[in-house]
Amino acid sequence: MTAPPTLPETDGAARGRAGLWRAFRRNRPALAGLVFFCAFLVLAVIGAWATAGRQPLLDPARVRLEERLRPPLSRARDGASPPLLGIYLLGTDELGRDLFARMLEGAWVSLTVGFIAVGISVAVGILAGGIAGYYGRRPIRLRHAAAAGALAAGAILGWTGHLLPGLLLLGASLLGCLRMRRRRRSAPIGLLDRPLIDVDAFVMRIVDILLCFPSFFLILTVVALLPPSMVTIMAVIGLTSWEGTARFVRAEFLSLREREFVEAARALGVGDPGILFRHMLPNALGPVLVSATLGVASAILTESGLSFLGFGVPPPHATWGNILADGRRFLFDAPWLTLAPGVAILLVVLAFNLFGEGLRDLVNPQAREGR
Amino acid sequence: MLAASPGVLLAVEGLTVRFRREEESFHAVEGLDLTVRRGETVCLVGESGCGKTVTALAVMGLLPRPGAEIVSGSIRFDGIELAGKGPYPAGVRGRRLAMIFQEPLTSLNPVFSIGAQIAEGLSFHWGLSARQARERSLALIAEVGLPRPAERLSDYPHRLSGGERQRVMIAIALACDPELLIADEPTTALDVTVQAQILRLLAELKDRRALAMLYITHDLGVVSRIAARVAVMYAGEVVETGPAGEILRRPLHPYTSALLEALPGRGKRGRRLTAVPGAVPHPAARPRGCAFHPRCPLAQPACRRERPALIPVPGARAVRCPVTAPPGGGEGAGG
Repeated sequence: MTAPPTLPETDGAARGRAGLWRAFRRNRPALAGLVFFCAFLVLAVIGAWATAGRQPLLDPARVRLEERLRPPLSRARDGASPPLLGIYLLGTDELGRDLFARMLEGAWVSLTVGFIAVGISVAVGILAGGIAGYYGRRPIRLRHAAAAGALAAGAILGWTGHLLPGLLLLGASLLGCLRMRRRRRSAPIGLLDRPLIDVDAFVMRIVDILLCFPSFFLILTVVALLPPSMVTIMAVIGLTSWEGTARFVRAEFLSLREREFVEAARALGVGDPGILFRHMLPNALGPVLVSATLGVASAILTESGLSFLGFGVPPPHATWGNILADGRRFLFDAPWLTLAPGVAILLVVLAFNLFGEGLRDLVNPQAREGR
Repeated sequence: MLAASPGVLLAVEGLTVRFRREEESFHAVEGLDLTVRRGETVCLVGESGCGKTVTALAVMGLLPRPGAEIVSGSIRFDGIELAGKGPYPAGVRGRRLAMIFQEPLTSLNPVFSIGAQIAEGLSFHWGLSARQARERSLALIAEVGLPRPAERLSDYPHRLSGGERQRVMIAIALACDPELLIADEPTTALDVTVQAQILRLLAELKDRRALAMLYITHDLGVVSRIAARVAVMYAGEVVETGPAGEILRRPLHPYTSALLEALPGRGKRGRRLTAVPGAVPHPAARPRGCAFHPRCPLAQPACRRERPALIPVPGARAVRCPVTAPPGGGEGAGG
């Protein structure tokens, strides 16, 4: 038998913020993940600051052909415009650019792409899954579909230059929607009131359809059609990865909806949005947080993959993916060119996963004390 | 709209609630009349599945949708129609009309502290600031008899026992000074000693705040302790109503008698308790005629054919049984 671990406090454990922190600290891997994540955050922010501007502290774009493929920690030769401290911390690439500076710039790209893409995906996923799970069996009626169709048609008309008819159609359908809300429980208007499909089925079938596409190739196609930029990449990654979140938010909500505290909140007079977002969402947030942190990891991976294939963030910017792609040709002559971004991606993804697991234990107050 | 008679806070008239599930459709509550006066405690008694909770949910406007709907009847709360077409009137639910539930263990949101949950209604309905809400929450926690209110405020529900949680639920329900409290079997999930404490607390609060209460229970013992009036339900209908003491002493409807027979009590020591034979019919398979006739010891051929009406009986009582209603007691009764 091994010695028992330090006994958790039996009384008053996890009271308030201090308690949360204490509980989190007990989870070593998660703590390591958090520490690494903070380090990554600081590095990325410093990197963004140090590599930007006209005369950056560390210039990721300066070409020094005489300093090609220098190994890590080698001193800069005289005559070449030296990097910070005169040392190539991680070596140089085939154009003599400072790998350390390029990695720093790439860190910032990875961070923003990861977070914003996941932000988009989580927001869409929560909204879709929440609506599907909460409104569930309520039917979408013909008039709802008609209004949505009119709205879309108006928007498209407006967008394609037929401004006046577009705006008219938009306004008319908006008015129709408003009227619909007000007379919700009035007598049925025959055909228009015909139920088509229920909300849950509608949203979840869309999810199923989207899941049928191999998402990486979907992203590749979209990226190939749209002008390459960081914003496109983030939006595309975000909008193609929300299905998982939507699925389990829905699953959580299906069970939460039947719980008594939701009924109790309703009895208190709380409206639908309040119940959806204030009462149910925090209860479903554990898995959402976990999947979001895992999502950051996978978004970073996807972005690296895209950059590796040359579809990612356009070239003047360094990203871990395109550093890796460039370094691949010198795998045996200059292994640091692939090792540095590879190890960085591995560590960041690992850190996010560990941190996510730790968060999950923390969000659930019962699991927190149950150990 | 009809002028409410003085003192009547809640008036339910002819309430019929229909449930529809795929193919089948049935009335869970049919033609239910019920009044609660200000400051009065009315008990709604019956076996599980007889429509007590559905009645409460209809009053709260919380019937499951889609699935259940109010087909006919009216529910007036202080003159405000709650069962009309269109959305449930604002400013009633949670503010003037509060409800506590059967399961205190799961009726609190596990991720919020007690204080946050009590404060929610206060900031929502009264627009109190966080500080004001906290002060009032402290007072409320003390009022429902939880020790060390300041510490309780920052506790999470899982640290509380069942009785404590039900006290918190009561505090939440009473936060905005409602005029009517609907209590749906609030002590069923608690053990007996705690039940007694909660009942005592509710009785105290009722006196102190002049609170009207609609108390739903299947326990006639509870009725005798807190109710002024009682309505016995069977298969979606009120079968007997009147002052609690009278009904418990001299039940008229065979169903009420059978329930009382099944209750252990003084004078029954050493005797075998009698169970009501059979089971409550599912509302979709309601027997023709009197709903109770298959289980009734006094059933007559007519009971099988005709649906009895609620017959007024002297002493502000009424009974849905032509067999046991005292003859000639027609006019002198009020509902």
